[in-house]
Amino acid sequence: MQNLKVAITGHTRGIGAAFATYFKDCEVHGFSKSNGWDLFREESLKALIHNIKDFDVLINSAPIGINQLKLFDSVFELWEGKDKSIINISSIGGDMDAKIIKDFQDYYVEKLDGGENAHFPSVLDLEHYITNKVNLDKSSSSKVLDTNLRQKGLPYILNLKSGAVDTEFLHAGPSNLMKHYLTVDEFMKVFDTVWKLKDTARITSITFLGNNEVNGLW
Amino acid sequence: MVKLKVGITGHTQGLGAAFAEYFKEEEVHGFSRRNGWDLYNESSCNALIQNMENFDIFINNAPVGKYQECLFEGVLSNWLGQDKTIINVSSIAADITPGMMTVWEEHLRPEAEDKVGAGRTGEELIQYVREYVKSKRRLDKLTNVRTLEVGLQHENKPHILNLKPAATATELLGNNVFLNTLLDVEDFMSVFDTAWKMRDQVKLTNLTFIGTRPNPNK
Repeated sequence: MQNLKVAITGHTRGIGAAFATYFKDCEVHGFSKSNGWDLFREESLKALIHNIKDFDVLINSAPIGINQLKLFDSVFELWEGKDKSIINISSIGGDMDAKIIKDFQDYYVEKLDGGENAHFPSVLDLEHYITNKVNLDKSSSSKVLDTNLRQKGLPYILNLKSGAVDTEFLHAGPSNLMKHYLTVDEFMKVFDTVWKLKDTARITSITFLGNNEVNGLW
Repeated sequence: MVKLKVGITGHTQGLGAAFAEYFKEEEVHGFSRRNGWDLYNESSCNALIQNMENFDIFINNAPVGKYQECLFEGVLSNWLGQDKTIINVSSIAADITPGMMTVWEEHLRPEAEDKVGAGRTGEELIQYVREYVKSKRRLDKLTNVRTLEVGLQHENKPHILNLKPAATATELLGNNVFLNTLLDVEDFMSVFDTAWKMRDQVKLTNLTFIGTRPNPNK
């Protein structure tokens, strides 16, 4: 594993930072706002895609709206048929569809308190977040099926779809939507288990929830 | 130690039999045609749902089309808020969208007509796959909604685990010509074992996975 060249978006905080630690014996390159990579901007995104050719692993972690999907689609196109890995940090929100979003609307309208520092200041923001994750998941699952039919399952695509994880992101918004959360260590334990299984069975999508009670924490 | 009471549909072959073996130290009850449980009808399903009330684990394994959904929904509604587990054996086929199915039928038909799967003609095989995909897609959607509801409103209880393997080498598979790689039953169970052993720390709720063994029929 030491020889892998690993690209991580959003590598300075939360889950991205945990991946940087996990792959610390590899050649890790981080792409975050703090080192000049604002991936919400098209030119940054294009520059990253241009740079990615000789990497082995992409950790598509930064929550950059629709650009997370664009990054996945573009890197997949470049890596199709190659023995490389794309790991998307998605969300259990990716399991929602329009009907579920509507069904849950009353619940999250009641629970969402917003606030100026919140990641979801409004219901619309939450819906955009969910829609982006739904689209990322759809694109990912169709590519998984397609590569397995035509390309011997390469590159390896893994979609990690967790419930709430204890990062700054959780504290700033969705905490009171959820009753339970995962710690970052627990999140990484799931990833580690999946990563080590990949020569036996390639887990391509995994949804998981924590057992720790949110109640009163934030 | 009190034994867990485990109900398994389709317990006499393939994955069902592997689950029966996995839980052999517990109190396992099997429900299959061979012991008089033809789950392709509503009255049998209702009887089984009633039977499950004092069980701890329900393995919803038999591929009985829409009745697999009925069993899931029925057992879940009786178990809401209780510390029990429902394991659905679904399929990666649930990720095939209607649009993909149309494209794939064109792609797969020549192969399906060339090689026959599980004693069917090519056209019958396509028809079988079409129905199978629809049924797994419905089960998957239902499971996603219920998992979110249970996570948000019922303290993650019961634990719902949806297993979506790609082609697994069982009697059902026959001469599968669709996928490049296969899982064997041991690979499948090793993924399940991993998820099961993590449950006190992290609840895995939905797992899609693909084998790494070359398909001899391709």
